[in-house]
Amino acid sequence: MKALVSILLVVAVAVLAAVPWFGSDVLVQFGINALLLAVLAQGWNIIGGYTGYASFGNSVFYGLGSYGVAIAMVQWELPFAVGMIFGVVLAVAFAFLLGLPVLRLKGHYFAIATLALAQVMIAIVSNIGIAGQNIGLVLPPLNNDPLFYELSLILLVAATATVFWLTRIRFGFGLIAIRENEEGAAVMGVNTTLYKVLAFALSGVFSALAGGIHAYWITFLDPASAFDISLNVKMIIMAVFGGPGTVLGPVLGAFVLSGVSEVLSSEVTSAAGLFFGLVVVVAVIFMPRGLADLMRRFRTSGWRYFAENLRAHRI
Amino acid sequence: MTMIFGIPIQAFLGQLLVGLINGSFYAMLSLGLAVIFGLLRVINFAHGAQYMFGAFVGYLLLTYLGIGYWPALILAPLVVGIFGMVVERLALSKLYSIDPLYGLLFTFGLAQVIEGIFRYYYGVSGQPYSAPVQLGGGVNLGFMFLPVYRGWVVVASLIVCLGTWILIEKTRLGSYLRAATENPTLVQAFGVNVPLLLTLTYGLGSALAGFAGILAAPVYQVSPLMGSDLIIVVFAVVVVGGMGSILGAIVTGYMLGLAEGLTKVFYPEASNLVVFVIMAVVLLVRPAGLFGRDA
Repeated sequence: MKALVSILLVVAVAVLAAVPWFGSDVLVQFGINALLLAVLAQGWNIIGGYTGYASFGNSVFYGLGSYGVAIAMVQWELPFAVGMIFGVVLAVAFAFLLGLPVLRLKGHYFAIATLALAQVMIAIVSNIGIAGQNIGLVLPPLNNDPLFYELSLILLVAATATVFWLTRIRFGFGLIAIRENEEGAAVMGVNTTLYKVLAFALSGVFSALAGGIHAYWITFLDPASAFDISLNVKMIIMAVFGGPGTVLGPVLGAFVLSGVSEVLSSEVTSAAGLFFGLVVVVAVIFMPRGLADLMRRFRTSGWRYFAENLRAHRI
Repeated sequence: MTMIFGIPIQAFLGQLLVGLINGSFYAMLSLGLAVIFGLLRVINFAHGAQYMFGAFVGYLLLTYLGIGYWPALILAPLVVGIFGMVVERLALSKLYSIDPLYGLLFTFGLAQVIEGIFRYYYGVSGQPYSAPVQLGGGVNLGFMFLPVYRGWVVVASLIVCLGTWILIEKTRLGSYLRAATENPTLVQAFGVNVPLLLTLTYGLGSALAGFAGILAAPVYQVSPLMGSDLIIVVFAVVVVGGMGSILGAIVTGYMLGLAEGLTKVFYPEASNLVVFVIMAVVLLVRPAGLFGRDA
């Protein structure tokens, strides 16, 4: 079974990697978007899925990554790779500076405090000269979609491998312990503050890298789109739709929802947001534990699975 | 020209009034959020959309049925409130027992649906909605000119906030509601229909948003995006006031509106930042919020 899964995964990655050779331009562009969203969902999975802190501030990491690349390339004329590193440094610094106070909060407070952080970032970046204030920055164009595609795929594989690795080391167990019972974890000798901040920073690293790739690909960014809160909600929905706290769930959720959203926006452009909302609403009610749970339990329960979920969550 | 803190007094009072009006909307919206959160433990992301919905009900009533402002002031909250109750009954009530994140995601999805519908039909541009004749014009207060409608907004929001506070803190129904937050099982055992109470509560919270919406229609333009622009600030207000605290939401709403107005006078660059700065400070010093009991 395990060997089968591994072989299937290798084949899936190989097929994905080959897309630029046989796919159309539109498919590659869609692929870049879907892969980057999957990276964001996977990054959120570390802090939200495994550690149990539903962060609404991951779009800040994404924005910092984008601005890291943009500032390095436009203002300092440094290469892309240096920009990526700069973005990651910004994100990690942010995770430590603001993670420390904010991670003291729990549940709703944590969600709302991180939500407001993204809004604050828009206001701050709009006043910083080197970041182009509220006009934004225009990056040097690089018309090489296959390159961006492969970069995104490598990043996704790295993020997923990291999460897989987390599930087998002490640090990862510590995070799960914090999610299940934070006081208990502290009593068992887990340095909860350190673990939480590290998890926040780690999820920030991947989000920042995704932001960096996206900024160079789109070649334009402004504060409102870089720190977009609905992007943050999107990555949560994708992770939750797929199954938070599982290795492959968020990736699967991101692919499925990106596909749904792409089909919808090409069919009914102006109502795409509406239908995306509907998908979310239906998914939350009928399969609150995500695709991963659906696939596990659908075999035994069949269609009753949805009815069981409905009944299970009544007061 | 009279000066105060080195600023013309007209500019000072003018910005203070703008702050007070914004504060009135913050207070009403964060009050609705606090009512819903206090009893349902759901962060109602759809609150901004319900506010926009209220404004649109007023606009649609006027455009298609010729029903004016005054009946709309009653009808809009009623429509939004009933819509809220249906949503609670059909969907939200099924999510109470699982992680609070799901309530948030659900209401976010709901907000997308509501906004999507109005965007589909009306685009993103604003529709004008004029104030009723009785509230047109303005009065000269000697030191400044006050449009009557703006004064009415402040008065109406004060009445609604006070009314809601009395309903929840001073009446029998309110005491049931508060008891149901503490221990739903026990209250149910006493023969109170707790699920119905929760439905009514979500209806009340939504109706408050709808009322704020119709009240805002003549001040701001009626646009599908009017809610999402406002909702993040309102969330910050709720955090500062203490989540679930009714009085906290009201007082903080007005206070932060005024703080925003004052910042516009002295340091305009920071005016859209000041609420979040205050929020950050409050979160660090007192995570439960100014009026909250526990975190």
